[in-house]
Amino acid sequence: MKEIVLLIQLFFLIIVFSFSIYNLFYLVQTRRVEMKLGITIPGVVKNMVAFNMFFPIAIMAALLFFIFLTLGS
Amino acid sequence: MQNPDGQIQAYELTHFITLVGEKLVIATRKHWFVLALPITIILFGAFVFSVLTLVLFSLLPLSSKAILFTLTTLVIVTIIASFITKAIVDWYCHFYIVTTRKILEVCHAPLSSSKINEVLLDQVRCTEVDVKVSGMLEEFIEMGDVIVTFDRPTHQEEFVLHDIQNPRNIGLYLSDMLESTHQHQGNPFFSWYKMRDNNNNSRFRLREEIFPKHSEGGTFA
Repeated sequence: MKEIVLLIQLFFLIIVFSFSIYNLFYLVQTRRVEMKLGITIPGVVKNMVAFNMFFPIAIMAALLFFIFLTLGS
Repeated sequence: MQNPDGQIQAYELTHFITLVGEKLVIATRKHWFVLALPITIILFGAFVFSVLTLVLFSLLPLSSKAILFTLTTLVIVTIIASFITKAIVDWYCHFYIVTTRKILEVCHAPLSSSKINEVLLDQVRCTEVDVKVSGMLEEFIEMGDVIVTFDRPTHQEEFVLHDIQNPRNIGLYLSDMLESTHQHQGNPFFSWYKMRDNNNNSRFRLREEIFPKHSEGGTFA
């Protein structure tokens, strides 16, 4: 059972890492589109993109903690 | 005439006013309600996926079910937050601009696609503006299409402002502004054929033959 839990946690880690990277590029691209079109995307939306970038990092930390906890048990 | 509501401010669109003597007529986004459908689908999908994982984890003989379910929920929150943000940004970066010289559809989806559709108004023969509101819900929330048709007899070219707010007001405003724009620009068909003018430059001229009086048997005075 320990292996299944580890596998699930690793799977989640990969997904969350991918989304963090995706949102990093998305944030950069959003700024580029803003400059290209000359429009200003509302701060709330930009904060949402930034949140989407940083929130997965927090989840990754939690996942790593639980992975080590599972390995240690 | 005052601008209808729900429009983008002119100072945000300086990148698109590029031609000589060009002035902004209308700039608008799609109605906010178009966001409701994708966001509902995303939330419903997240709910279904959460329930499925809860059932799956309860069936498996795992020791750390609560932790796994919490982590799954957090991962789902990450995914739906990304998708909802993408839907909002895509909606925000998709807008229509009508100036006195051209009509533009700007559609930028970061990391996905980029499209600018432009029609120069002094290159089209005929312009008609139709408004289409279909359905009770669209009627209620004042959402619909404004269809600008060029070269109506052949039905070849249409520029559709999809799902915009206040389509009736914008349609009326647009038709008035396009008409006044054509009047100010002079002849809208100038680029298609040369107009006949009244300064004796036409192809056929009516001439009167003038005979001297002595040829008709008259005498010199």
